[in-house]
Amino acid sequence: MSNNSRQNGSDSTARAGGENGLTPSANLKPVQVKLVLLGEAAVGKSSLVFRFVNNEFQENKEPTIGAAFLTQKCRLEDKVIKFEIWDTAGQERFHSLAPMYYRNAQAAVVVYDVTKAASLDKAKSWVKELQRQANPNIVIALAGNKIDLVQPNEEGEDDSESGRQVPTEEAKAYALEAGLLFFETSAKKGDGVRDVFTEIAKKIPLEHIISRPRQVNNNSNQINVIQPPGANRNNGGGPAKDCAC
Amino acid sequence: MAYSSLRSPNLSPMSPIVEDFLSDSNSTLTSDEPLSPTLQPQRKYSLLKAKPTTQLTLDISSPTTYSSSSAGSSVKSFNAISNKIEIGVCGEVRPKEGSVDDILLGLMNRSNSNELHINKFLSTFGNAQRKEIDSDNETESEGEGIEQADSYIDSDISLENNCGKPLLRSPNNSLISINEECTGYRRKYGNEDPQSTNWTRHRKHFFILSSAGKPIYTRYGDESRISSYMGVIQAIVSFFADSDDTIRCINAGQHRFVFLLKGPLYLVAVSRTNESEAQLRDQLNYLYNQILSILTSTQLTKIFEQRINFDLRRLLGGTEPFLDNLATSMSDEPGFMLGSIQCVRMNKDLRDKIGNIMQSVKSKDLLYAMLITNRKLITLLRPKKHSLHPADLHLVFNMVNGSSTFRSAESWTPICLPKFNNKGFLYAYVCYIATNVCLLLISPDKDKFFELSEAKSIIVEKKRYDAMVIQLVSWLKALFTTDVGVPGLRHFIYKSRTHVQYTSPTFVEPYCNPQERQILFKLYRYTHDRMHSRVRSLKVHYYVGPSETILGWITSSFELYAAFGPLISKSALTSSSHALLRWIKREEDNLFIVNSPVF
Repeated sequence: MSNNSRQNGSDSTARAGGENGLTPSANLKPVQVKLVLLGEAAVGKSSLVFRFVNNEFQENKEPTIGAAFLTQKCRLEDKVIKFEIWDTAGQERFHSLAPMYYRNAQAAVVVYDVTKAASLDKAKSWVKELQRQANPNIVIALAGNKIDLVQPNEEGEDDSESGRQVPTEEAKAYALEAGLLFFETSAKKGDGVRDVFTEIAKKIPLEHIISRPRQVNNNSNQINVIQPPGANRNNGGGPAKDCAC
Repeated sequence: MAYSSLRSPNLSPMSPIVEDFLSDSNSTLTSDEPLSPTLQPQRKYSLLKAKPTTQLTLDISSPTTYSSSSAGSSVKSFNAISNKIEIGVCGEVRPKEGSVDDILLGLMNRSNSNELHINKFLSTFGNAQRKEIDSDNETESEGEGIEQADSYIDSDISLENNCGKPLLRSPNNSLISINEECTGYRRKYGNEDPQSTNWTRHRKHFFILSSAGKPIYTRYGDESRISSYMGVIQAIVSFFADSDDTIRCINAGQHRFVFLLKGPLYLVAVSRTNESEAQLRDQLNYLYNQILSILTSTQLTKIFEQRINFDLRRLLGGTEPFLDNLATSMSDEPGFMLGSIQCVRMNKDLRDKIGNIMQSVKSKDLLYAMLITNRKLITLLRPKKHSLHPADLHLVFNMVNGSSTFRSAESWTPICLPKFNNKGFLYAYVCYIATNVCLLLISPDKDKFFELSEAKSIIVEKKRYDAMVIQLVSWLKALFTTDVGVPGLRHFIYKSRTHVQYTSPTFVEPYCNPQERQILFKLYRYTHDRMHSRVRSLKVHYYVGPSETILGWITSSFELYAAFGPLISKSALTSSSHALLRWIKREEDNLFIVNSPVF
């Protein structure tokens, strides 16, 4: 993908330091980091990735189908990191495929929407699933997206602030308790997006990865699910309430 | 609309179509299906009436037997249902009157004196003047022939996007539909109020509901707000199911209601586009296949076995673009009607070269590989013993075309191809390798993304690739009628029955605007229906309309639909069509994928 298209956007404060030059110094072998994005539908997973990879934002993006695979190179201090990102679809019907994407991942970004309380619940269940089934050393970041919707702006401050359904403190406390990195982001404005990836890169034991070939994790994981698609979406049953009428 | 006066039926000469219908209706009455004595005169009456009466009662209270054509053999007695179906000018029945409860009660309670007020539901679609309930009874819809032939041209003038009033100006724009909330995707007509006239004016509605009456999909508006209509549909269906019968079609004035019952799913089309029952049923089948391609039949049955009340929208969340896109393309793509696909016209050598390059990535993980552009196939690689059914290809095209998300990254998604295997998923690797050229690799194994991604890189890096793409893009220029060089020919569709592919030139004058195109397409559709009608199918169909002459011609190896000017003589038309066929024969290698490469 467009590795070099990343410009220094509004989030120039990113701490990865000096990656602006983006010299993919040929002698530096990039460290591959597999990262997966999870979260409820329409919380902005694709938008986050799109902002990170292309530094662009699209309104009314269509829902992702299945999963999209993108890569982005970053420089962290003296290392070049190549993020291999699985941007998964949030729809329930794809849930059973998720293990395929997170089982070799070194990092996961679980996204929720700060204007939708239910999306945090979904995020929590993803975190649980990751902690139970994914690589035990996986670095998980919790990202509350769409803060541009609740940020006080010039006019109508009260109105916009009232849109928030997940207080920062609440999510932060949860993240602390569960041992996650925590961020609030706006894919639309670009706030905080770079930080998510930078902090993840810092937290991942990179030396560890460098010393091992890429595919090593392939067999070492415990959930080589032979689960038929949709197997785990049936037992939940439908919403009991008769929402149609 | 100036246009409608131009196309008014007064100008149309007594066309052969009408004669067709006249002779046809005779054959209908003497067909093998025994009609009730009471029904027959009634139908004649309605045939002879040029203008429908305002109050017409179709009495089917006397014992009526008729054959169920879909079941084939069984002749069922309709004695059990002795009803009087009250038929009125539906425009008069306001939606407020006769609540849904009345209808349900009326349907459930089958006493002699009971009157069915199906009107509310039917009348929602306005202006229905005459109704026939047609359950598995083939002949009834035929009976409408004359009226249809008359109204054929003029009734369809206002087109979906060209109605006098803007359709999008819904007063309820402030309402946020559920879809928008949960997917972020904004449906074009997503927030139309089902009570509004905007909603009812749409020319073709599709509804999908579960057998429990839960709404699953509606082409326009918001599913959760049409649940009362879904209740009525369910009631109508179960009313016939009670007597071991299956409702297939209701003709009500301009509207046709076509039902397709597929296990736990009911699919209904409500249309005033003059499409035939069979054509609408085909479209419902495509929609059903689309749902299968998302869920597989295994999953679908399992879900509803476990919970008959399941709200399927939960699982279909995010797939509205596919269904919407499919519904739209079925109205303007001949491929669905013809059951075939279109491929890009390109030099055979180049196509072979591309095929060879793709063949070079032989991999046991690969089931199908294809290169597509704008709903057209460039090339397709397949295993020796499997071909790919056009219906499945349509689903693939629809998926690629229906979502822009594939354009931004490599994607990996499960897809069920119902004609290949409706019980399980295949996995599709989708990637655009040039602006409009999409590479699709299909594998039966869900873990093979990286292998296929690798294969893509090989294909892309393969020698001469860049030159190939440039050549390719230059070849993506469409076929024009003028290329054929046949005098008088305006447009045509040629389906090769041996290759299950069709070709058709781009629309140029006089079919530049969508309205004209729709009218032409409607004529094609009509011709297609006449030639595929189950009652008396034709081999050649010649139709002179006010602004074009349409020739339909079917042989064992091709189907041809050609449009000429209205004044062309029969002999000129014959020689021109032969010239066209000769040209196609000559160009066959370039127009069609004649022998697709295999692994």
